[in-house]
Amino acid sequence: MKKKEKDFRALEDKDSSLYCGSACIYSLFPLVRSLEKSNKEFAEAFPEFESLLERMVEEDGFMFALSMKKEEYTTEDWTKLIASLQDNEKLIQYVDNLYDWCEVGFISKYRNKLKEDSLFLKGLLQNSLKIFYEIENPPMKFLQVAASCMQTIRGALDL
Amino acid sequence: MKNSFDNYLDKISSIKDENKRITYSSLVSSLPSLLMLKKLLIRKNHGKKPFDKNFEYEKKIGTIDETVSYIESMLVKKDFFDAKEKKALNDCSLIASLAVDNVKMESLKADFRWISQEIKDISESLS
Repeated sequence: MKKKEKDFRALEDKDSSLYCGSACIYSLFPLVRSLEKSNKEFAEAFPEFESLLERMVEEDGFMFALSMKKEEYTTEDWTKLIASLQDNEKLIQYVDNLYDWCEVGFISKYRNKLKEDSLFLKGLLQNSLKIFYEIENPPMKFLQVAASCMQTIRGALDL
Repeated sequence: MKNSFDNYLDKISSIKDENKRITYSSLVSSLPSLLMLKKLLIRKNHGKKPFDKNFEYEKKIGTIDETVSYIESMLVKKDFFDAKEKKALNDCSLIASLAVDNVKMESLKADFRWISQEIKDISESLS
């Protein structure tokens, strides 16, 4: 596991590239550690959850920077963006499933927070997609992944 | 144990009592939102349209700093939860809620709304 202290403290640095999405991601690390301890089946139900969160702290900054980019996107930009969107979608699915997972017992105390996180993450992803949809000549793979993300957002909003 | 986010995460795995572990992890989980609340307030106040004097920006930053320091000081103790933490979290939730009414940008309003609700939810779950 990566050391998290440096980026954690950067959350309060007014000049850092970490914003609210990163704070939301960081707030999930403690829950993952706790739930891993509570139930041995957690790791099987949510494989590599902590690794996903670690990747997403970096991807959050990348997506923000890319959304500001004025030059034409390179093939590498699109490839990284598609991977980041897939991770975003996976995180939303994990948080929604975690909400259901925490239905009974002491762990139900996490539910309200998880519900808020789900709604917030969906809003952030939807806003990002609006920006990226406006980029001309996107690759087909982007359109497919973006459509899947929208489906995940909508599905969850129906709850 | 020194104060570090990695140490807090490690301690979570070592707490055997589930209810205590959930309380501890919830307290750790509140810290990123608190740090982000401070950052967003500072950025707003250093921007083109700083907070009105009535907002009492300096006092609010002081409240957030005290809350983070107090929670972090408690997280290294055996009895890491008390009523003062809950009250401090509620105060910070209110600060984020007041900030919503003092900004115009919709995305920033959404950020403050999430922080306010997040901290409130965590505070209400503590026992």
